[in-house]
Amino acid sequence: MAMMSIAEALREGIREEMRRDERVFCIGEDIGIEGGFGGAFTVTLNLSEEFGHERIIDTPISEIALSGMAIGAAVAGMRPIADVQYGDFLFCMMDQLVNEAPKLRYMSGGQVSVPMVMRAPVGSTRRGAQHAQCLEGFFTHVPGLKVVAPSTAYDAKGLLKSAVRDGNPVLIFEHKLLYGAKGSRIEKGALSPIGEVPEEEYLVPIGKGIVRRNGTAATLVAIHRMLYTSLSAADRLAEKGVEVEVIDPRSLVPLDKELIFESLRKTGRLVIVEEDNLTNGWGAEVAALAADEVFEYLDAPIKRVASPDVPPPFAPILEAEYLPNENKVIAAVESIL
Amino acid sequence: MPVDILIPPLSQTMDTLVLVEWLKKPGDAVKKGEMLFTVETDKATLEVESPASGTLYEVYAEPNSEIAVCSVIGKILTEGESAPAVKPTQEKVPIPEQKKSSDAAKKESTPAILVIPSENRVFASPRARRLADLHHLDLAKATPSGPRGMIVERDLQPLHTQRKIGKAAPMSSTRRVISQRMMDSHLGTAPVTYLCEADASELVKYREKLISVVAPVSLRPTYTDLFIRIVCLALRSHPQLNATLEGDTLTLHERAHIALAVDTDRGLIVPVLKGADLLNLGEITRQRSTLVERALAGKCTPDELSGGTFTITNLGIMGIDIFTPIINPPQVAILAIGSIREMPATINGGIYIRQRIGLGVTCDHRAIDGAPAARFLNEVRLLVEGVGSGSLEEKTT
Repeated sequence: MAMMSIAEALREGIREEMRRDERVFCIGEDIGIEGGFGGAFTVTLNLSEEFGHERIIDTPISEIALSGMAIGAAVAGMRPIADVQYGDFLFCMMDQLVNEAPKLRYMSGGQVSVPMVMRAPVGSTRRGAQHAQCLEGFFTHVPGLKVVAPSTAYDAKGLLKSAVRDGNPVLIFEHKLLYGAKGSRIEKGALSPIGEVPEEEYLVPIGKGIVRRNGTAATLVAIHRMLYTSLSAADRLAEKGVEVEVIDPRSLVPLDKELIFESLRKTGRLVIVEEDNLTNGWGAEVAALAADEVFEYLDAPIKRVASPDVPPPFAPILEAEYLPNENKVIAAVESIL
Repeated sequence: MPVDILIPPLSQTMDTLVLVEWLKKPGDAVKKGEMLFTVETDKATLEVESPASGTLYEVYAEPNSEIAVCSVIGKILTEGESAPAVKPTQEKVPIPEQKKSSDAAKKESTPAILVIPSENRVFASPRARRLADLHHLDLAKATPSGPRGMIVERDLQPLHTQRKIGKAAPMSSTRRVISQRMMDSHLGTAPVTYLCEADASELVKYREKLISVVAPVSLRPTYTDLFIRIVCLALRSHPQLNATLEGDTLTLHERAHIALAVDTDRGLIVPVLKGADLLNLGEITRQRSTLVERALAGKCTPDELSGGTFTITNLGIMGIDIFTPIINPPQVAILAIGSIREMPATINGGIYIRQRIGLGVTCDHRAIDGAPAARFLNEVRLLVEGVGSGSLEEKTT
């Protein structure tokens, strides 16, 4: 059992999949360039040494080109792992990601499949309005796309390997402050969720969430950095005698509804914590599902703790105000107890 | 801050209500939940609870005036609060113009505490509602502690405790009294039950006819009312069943004071209709109705609950065919009435569909032998079956 950061675990997962299946390759901007970082966040560092530049492909700075190539390769039978430096740049490839990749299987009556993985870093990291957004809400809305959001090294590797083998387009959102990148790529305010990663082969199934903390007073649902914020808030609430359950859905599409519902049948209270802007975030969907399917178990209004409907501010003080934090989570929980 | 007293929006169809009367005067102490004033809707006159505890400080609305719903009609000073130095200047209750729409009335409303009588909506979480359903708890009895003033799961706990589910707890005082009396009866009497079935077809017709006559002006007589009358007539010729036995002393009573078994929230209550043998059917209906209402509301005086000489218990409405009741000491007899149901009956060799009713009388054999008890029950049966030939009227004194 090795201890790894999320960046290392992803790299290990990519390496294993590339060794296992020669159709697997990486494509992105500055992912294998000599003297580079191995992508913006070191995930593909040194992979070109083992696999060469034919399988670790650097592209010009054109997101639409790299996503188009990835989709084309996938249609032709390859297994691309595409990489975008910042999730915000996914907007440059919206036609590819919304009109092409998720719809080809449907429109061709199953004759064409797009087994493509798209990795995208998200989250506020003092980079301002165009480099710090959370985009989950946009893409959970697209039929045909699977969306996963690992928050631990174990899940990052296991979900990446499942995504490569899935046979459908899978979007992996990774949080910039959770990579645990080292050296010159270290992030201010980053958490280092270094975790145990088995040496032997394993997969984390897409569509299965996990309970990160057991409790009875309320259910918190969170991913990425907000998962750790929620766990810290849970510790502080526990000091006051309030034991909350914390659920990490790990996949947003498909969502492990039953895990959340099972928890709600016990706790009766739901707080969704997301870094995305409040309106129409993935949390809104979780809230709607709970109101629809376990209404009679709810003992209080459903609460969402999210960023307000403004772009992520650049100024650190404003950004700190903008982001959900432990105090906001605690206040939300206490407001419905 | 003084608490506003509002006219509650009780009726969906009316924008105004009539304030009938104030039940308190300015200066009176009031308790939250205590009835403060009465209003008249298009359907009923209702008492409205006080929204707060304290002193009724001032009222702005006159009795018998028509007032827009949600209008402020007075203020309550909460405990420890002194009167404002300057009286607020509002003080004129908006008397609605004829055409004022309900929207307009709502816009004028003050977002203060609305107190709506308990038969109106209870605010409870979906979870609390589900659990209340599941465990047959009365949400209206819960004290809300949840967000936005909702009843939540924890607020049901006291109701559970009252019901003692899964918990050992002393019985309520009413239950203790019932328990003691039932055990006294069980251990202290020699009960024998006699059962029979009567043809109630005439009785059903008689009641329907009676209702068609009196319904517009008076209360509808129940089968229990008819049986009170029947029992009084039967007791007249069988006085040994209208008796009490205490120790060795057997007392035959001149008057029939009929005790009625009434099922209430608190358990079995047995109020007594005094001098029932002197009452005609209309009077029986009227007095029985008042008495039962008082019993249901838990308002019977000790006097109303004692002095019975014979008990009637009617479970017919609950679909019970017939049952063997337990004597209510020191009385010596009790009549059980079962349900009336259509059944085939043979009359003079022919088969007819008739209304049949099950009757049972349990007597204390220490005081009453089998034959007189049977004769009494048979007389009850004959009275039931003879209603069509005037069995109830003929014997009226």
